Amino acid sequence: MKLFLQMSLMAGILILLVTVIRAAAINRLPKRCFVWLWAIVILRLLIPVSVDVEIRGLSRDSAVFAARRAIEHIIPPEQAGAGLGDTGRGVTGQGSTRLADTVRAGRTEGVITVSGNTDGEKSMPEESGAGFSMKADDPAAGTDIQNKAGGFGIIWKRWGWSLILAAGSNICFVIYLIRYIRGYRLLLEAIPLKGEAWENMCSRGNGSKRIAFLVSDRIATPVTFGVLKPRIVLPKGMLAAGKEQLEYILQHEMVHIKRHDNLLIFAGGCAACIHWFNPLVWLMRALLVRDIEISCDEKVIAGLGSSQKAGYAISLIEAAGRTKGQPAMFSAFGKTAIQERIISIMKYKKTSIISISAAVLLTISSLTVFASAKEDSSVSYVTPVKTEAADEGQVKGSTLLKENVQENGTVQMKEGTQEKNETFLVEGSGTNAATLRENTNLIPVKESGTAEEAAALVEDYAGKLEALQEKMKTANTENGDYDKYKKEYDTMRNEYEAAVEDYILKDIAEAADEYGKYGLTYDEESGCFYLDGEPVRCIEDGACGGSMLKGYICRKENGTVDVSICRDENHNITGIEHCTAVNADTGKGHHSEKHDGEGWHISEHEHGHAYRIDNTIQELN
Amino acid sequence: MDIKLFDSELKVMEVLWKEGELPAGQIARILKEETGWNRNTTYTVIKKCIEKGAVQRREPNFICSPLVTKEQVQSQETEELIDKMFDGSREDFFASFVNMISEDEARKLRNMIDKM
Repeated sequence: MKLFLQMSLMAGILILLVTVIRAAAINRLPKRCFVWLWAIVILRLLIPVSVDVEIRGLSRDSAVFAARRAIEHIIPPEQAGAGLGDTGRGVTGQGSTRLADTVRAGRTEGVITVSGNTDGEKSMPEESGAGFSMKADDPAAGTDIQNKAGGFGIIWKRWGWSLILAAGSNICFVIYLIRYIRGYRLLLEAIPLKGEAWENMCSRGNGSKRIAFLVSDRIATPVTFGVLKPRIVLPKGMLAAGKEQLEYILQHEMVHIKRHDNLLIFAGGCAACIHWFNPLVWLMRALLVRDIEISCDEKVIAGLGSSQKAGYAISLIEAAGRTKGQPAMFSAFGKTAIQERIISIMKYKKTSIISISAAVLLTISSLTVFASAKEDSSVSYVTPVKTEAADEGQVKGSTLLKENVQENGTVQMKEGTQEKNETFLVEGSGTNAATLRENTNLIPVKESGTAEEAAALVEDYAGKLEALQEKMKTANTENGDYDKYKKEYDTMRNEYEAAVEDYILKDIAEAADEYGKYGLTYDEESGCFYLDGEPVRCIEDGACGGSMLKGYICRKENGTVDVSICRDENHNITGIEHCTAVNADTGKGHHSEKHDGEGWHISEHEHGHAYRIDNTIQELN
Repeated sequence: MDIKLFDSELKVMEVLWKEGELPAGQIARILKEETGWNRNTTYTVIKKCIEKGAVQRREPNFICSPLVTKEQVQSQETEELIDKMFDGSREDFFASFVNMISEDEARKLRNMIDKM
């Protein structure tokens, strides 16, 4: 669906451009060119194909993607992919740190513990420690409750916008088809013209197809219709027109038949129905009709010669005098915008090389409407680091290109290159990025705001959620009060979850700062903590995450060492201790087992003991 | 009774005036020859005639019979022409008509008038 809107937008931009060019230069370019341009627009509107074009140096944040971001904000992520099956990326965007993924992964495994439940209707969260807790990253939990809230709610949430668009399209199509069919049926009642003169005309069609000539007392201007059996229907009044006029009409309509203009108009009509919400498309359709007529005139004059310009123009005027302003579903001779046509006829001159080349250029460049800009994937985004050279004070995030990384792996950074703090994925494995990692301690950068502030926010949410819970307990299920609270609760729960995650990340980030001094480092690329080069399986840090977590940050099953962070009363690190992590079979060191999805417990240790630096041996539970 | 018939409807009426009563299918066959209309189109036109009160339908077999004669339609159309172009004056119409005809036709006209 996002792709669909993008299609509409790109086409709209092209329509605007063509309209402007048309207003400025229509009489200086071959008119056929505009018909091609409109045809490209229609193709763009009807065909859901985009060619990804990577643009060198184009970064994610560039304004080029502004529209895409805007769409992302309007349409909730779960609807972005609905419909045409494109891979819409959600509002959360693409720039999450590996650390965040680590944390999320940990939570899925039940590592970072938060206990809770997923019961149905009136679910009451348990109290554990202080405040709220939730089931570790269970996306089903939310939707479960929503399911019970009603199937329609879900359908709306996921398909809401798509439904509206589809409904609009259907209505437009129905109206369009009804008018089309009515017109067609009317033309079918026309009566064939008999006589030798007309017989001669019939064989002047292109190649194999003979053209039939008919007359009808219900049209005002000549009409061409029929693909397999091309037919030209004349209004009754025009039968008396002079031979010359009939000749003009005939030639004009034959060009229409040859170029299959009716099909193009029909396609344009379909595109306008599908993109009913986009007024530019309706504009395009009106201009399309006009330009088809004008280019048809051009072809006729080209064939007849400039001397016939006046005669042709006059016959147009006379024909227009009979126009009742019928909306034509098929190409007509003397339609609206007659002035434009007369002017263009009188100003006709043989097409020059210049104008043809200009037209070709214009048409080719308009093909870019099918391109979809893609950011330059060779650009490395590097997490900003603190080097020895840098001062204290905040290192603000910025987008670094490979070129900014020095040869010795350090980075010269300017402070405040962006307004917001942002961290980026390390992408691309150019040598510069690798060098950077080797020579420096890569430390996750703080997001704006400290962990404390994040914690406060979480507490705030917890409080509000609790209050909502209370209300839900006593709310009336009949009159919709309960549903109202439930909805609030659900939305807030999502925000709460996001806040918790944010807090955890910040806390870990802050803690990780300090870990560095003890040789415990975090490697972004592998998403793993390392203690003096050894991969860490499990870190226990009582102070991390405060009362929210039970204090375990575990990452990798195949880590070889378990680490425990020792802190004093003031939560300052006094040291760390480690012991070899061993798998259950060999029995050395700590055992760590997953326990009921509630987190890792160090359940038993056979040989190693964890001990604090002050030499009090304490079992870790 | 004022019945306004379009060209296509007149075509159907002409068939009926010539052949008398006919089943609709027959009319369709005849008109297919003459105008190339398909069955649906002919049936649509016949239904329009029925709506306008120019044709009557009888079952079985969808038999169609004309409710107006050709002369009735002719004189109605002529009246309208006279009203429209000659301000309702038949004399003016006649005057104009007389200027169109040849010697021979004039003689035949005189005979017709004498017999009236």
